[in-house]
Amino acid sequence: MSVIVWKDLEAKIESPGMLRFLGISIFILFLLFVIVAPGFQRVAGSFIPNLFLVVSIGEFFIFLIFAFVSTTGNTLAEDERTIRDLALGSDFSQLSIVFGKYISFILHFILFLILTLPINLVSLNLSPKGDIKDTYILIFVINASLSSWGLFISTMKDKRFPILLLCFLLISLMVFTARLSYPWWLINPLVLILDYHPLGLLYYVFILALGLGLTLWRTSYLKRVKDETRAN
Amino acid sequence: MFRSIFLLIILLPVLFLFSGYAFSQIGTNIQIDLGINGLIRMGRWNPVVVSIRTFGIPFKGEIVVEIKEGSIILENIRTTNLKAKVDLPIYSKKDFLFLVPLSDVRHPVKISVFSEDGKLIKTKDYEIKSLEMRWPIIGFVGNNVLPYTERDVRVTVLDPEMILRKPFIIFDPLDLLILESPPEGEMLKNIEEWISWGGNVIVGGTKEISFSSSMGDTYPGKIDFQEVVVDSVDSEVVPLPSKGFISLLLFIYILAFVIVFYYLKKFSWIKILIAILLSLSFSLILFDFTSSSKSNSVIMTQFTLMKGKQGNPYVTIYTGTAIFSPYSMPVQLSYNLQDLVFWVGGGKEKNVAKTTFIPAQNSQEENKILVELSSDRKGILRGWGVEEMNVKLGFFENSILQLENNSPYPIREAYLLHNGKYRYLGDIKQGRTKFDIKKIKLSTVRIEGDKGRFLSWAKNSDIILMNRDYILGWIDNSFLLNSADISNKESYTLYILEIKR
Repeated sequence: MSVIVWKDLEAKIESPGMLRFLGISIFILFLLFVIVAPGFQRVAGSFIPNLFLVVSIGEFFIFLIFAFVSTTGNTLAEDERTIRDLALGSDFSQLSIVFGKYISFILHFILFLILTLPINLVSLNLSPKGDIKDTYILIFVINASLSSWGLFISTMKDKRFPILLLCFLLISLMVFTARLSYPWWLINPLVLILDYHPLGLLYYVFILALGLGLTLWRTSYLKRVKDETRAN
Repeated sequence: MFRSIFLLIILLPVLFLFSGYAFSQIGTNIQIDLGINGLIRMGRWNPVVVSIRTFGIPFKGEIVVEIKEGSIILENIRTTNLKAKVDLPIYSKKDFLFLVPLSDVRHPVKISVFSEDGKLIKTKDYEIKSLEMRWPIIGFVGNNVLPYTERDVRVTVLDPEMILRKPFIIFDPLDLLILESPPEGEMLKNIEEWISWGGNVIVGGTKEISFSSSMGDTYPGKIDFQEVVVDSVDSEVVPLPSKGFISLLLFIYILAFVIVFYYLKKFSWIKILIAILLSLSFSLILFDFTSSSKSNSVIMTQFTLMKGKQGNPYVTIYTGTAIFSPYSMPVQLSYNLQDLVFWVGGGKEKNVAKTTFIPAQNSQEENKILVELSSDRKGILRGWGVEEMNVKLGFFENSILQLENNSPYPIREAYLLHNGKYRYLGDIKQGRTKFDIKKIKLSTVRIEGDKGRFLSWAKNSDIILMNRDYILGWIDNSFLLNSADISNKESYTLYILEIKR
């Protein structure tokens, strides 16, 4: 499993496409900061924007794209091998493949989180309110759970339709669940950023377990197909 | 058999009584009282006394007094808490005094005692709905029978001990205080202060009492600073750290990130390590640079009126304070004058910050106020009190005005308001000062900025009447409210001495 983690991480970090993505993402966050940050002095009582909230929402979307780009396939990191490639072309067990890919994503994601830390800390200090711990926990759990579905997509041959379907489901989730009654609105990630509630994370733990379960099942299926093909 | 049953019948009540006594000795005895001998008066400050007595076990915990004001329909309910920490050793007793202004009959006053781990030990809700709460109260100190028939008035006999070593405002629910014999020492001082505040006292020997309640509501009080302090704090400038400098630092960070990942031809782990170190060091620099922005952003404006009358050695203090910060943060204020009380302002203002009062329980402690500020909630406080301020004045030959300032404060930029016209006097230092009024030219007060705004407001609010004579001046003080959390603080104190014609 450690071989998969290391090779995958190396492929992602050395990939020019992935580096460009990280650079552009941090630059977008910087631009958000420059546009929204309050000026040198303000008259008391005038509007002071919640910079941390704006940066958090920006980060949420960037990390969401990152989670899909990083897990669904080798679109940005050309040398990266997907779960399908590993299941059909290597002798690693399905557990090693799925958890190796998942741990590699988590490590890469943590690195990305650390890289955005300076912008987050400054935004926090210049914002009327905000809680960096809650925001980081929320972004981490949501991305960790949605990435499991990205890994599930990476087991498929044709990825375009599942990606489109997942994007549609996500947009529906963000648009239609905002006005639901308690505790159903807690599934909406944007509402959770605005009003953090730890109970909302339970939904995402469930989504994570379901995604990982499906990925494992699909990887086992691919391994079985490979074994049957080899036997024939 | 019969003997055993008989013994059991005898022993059981004895055992029951003994265990009851033993358990009461082990636990903590808590007694909660609101008002003076159970009598409360609406529109006034009422005392809440929580007596805690410990036996074999020490007690640590907290007392919370919760007062609600406002309407549920208009959604302007404001909850104010008064808190006191309790830390009592074994076999000890302490009375905790809180002063609570009662102005809203719609909500009960809730008094709770919690243990150290937050467990509710005792709670008491006082419903404030009875019409009787508006009837005047007469307090009688002495042993004789009161020569008064009780009708549309409430009468209570007071313990002289209650008057001693307590803030004068403890008498606020009373409309009349009758003393059997002339007061002395500390009691005299307390009563003088209360009279200065507006209280009525009758001292022994009078057989007939014609009662009239001339003391109005002290809460919300006659003088409301809310509008002027809020306007003043809204026009202040909030200092924020340089946006340009922070943006430049962040841009350098992004450049460094690009250089490390694109141009450093090293092993991946080294790159990751350098990137993490780079991120952490920039985080530290930027966090340190901006961390003081919140504490420096709090601005406070305080206006205070010290209003006295010729011949009275005390002045009545009215003060209004507004505190603002664009950030969500708590601010702690303190004051150590015993004869001063503060409460949350905001009859008209809806967005008032949550405020908790922690009254001092002995002379060594300071009274503390905790205001939880946010961008849409200002801290608004109103204060009332009495302070010793002895300024004597006399006119000689109709043109020489002699002022004797025996107070600890010099009066700056003083004016004499006489026959509707202002005469500039200059500074009145401590000691005797003489002014020849004939030589002093008439002028109009032209003061720019907050001082001018405050003076105009005092004139427009009929606090300074043009058909009366006054000495007006400014006192440089910052003794009313202190805070280490606030660096941008403006405080103005207008001294008004009404001259008898």
